[in-house]
Amino acid sequence: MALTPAQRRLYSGDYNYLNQECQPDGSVIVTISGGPSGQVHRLHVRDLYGPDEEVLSEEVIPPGPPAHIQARLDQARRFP
Amino acid sequence: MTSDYPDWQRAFRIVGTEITIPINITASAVTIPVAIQSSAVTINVRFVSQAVTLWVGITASVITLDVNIESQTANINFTFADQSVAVFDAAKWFAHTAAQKYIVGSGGVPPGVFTVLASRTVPSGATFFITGMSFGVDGGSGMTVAIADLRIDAVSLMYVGWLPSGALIFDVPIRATANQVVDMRIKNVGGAAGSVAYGGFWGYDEV
Repeated sequence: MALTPAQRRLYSGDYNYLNQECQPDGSVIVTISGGPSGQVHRLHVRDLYGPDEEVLSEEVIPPGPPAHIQARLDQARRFP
Repeated sequence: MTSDYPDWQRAFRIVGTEITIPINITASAVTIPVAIQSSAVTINVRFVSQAVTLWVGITASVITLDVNIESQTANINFTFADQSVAVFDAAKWFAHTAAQKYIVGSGGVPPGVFTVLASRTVPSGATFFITGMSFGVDGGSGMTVAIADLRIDAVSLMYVGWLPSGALIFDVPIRATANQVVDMRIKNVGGAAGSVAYGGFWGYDEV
């Protein structure tokens, strides 16, 4: 089975930070951030690292601060 | 026929306001041997200027830069007198180049058994140097002690145990090679079935 984009990052090492939150049902919520891509991936995985690893869901979290904070940062840069 | 010049000396002294000495060598192979054999050798390279740029650029598919010092006594002095000079050790340098890796996890830890909280398979072509580990447990879990176990390929490297949390910085980084699995487990001793623990390890990848 083809790897998802987040799985490719997980196994290629394209990240600086890897968080694995074990769920009561044995699945794991994995968050991958940092690295050259600059993206934050969050994926819900069953049988993580196991022979039947299955990605139940996967999302890309927009990097950077919330929009209202980004607007203030932009404003601060314009008017030092 | 070679001759012996016991007191041979040749001085190059160039005086001018602007001096340029280009040396361009183009060849399929260039060898410039410098061999000095003497009972005493002194080589002084001294630049005095308001601005000095000493640029050494080496570009090759394979580079070997060997500095071998053999002596009964060797004094090596590096003196930096500039606030912008920094010398990094390996861990800090790899963080500086964004190669740092932090692997953490959390989850329930049933009593009496080890539970994997954080795991990583070292990517192909990389060597993972682990420089520290930490863990913590839920304050209301009732555990009498939490034991952390750092492993490579399911072989335990060290056990540490205390409550409620702790961290270790490794004096000697632990080296894990490509495709090896590094994980950290926690054992809940004396705690409730619903106990929760957190932990992980960190280091850097050398590719």
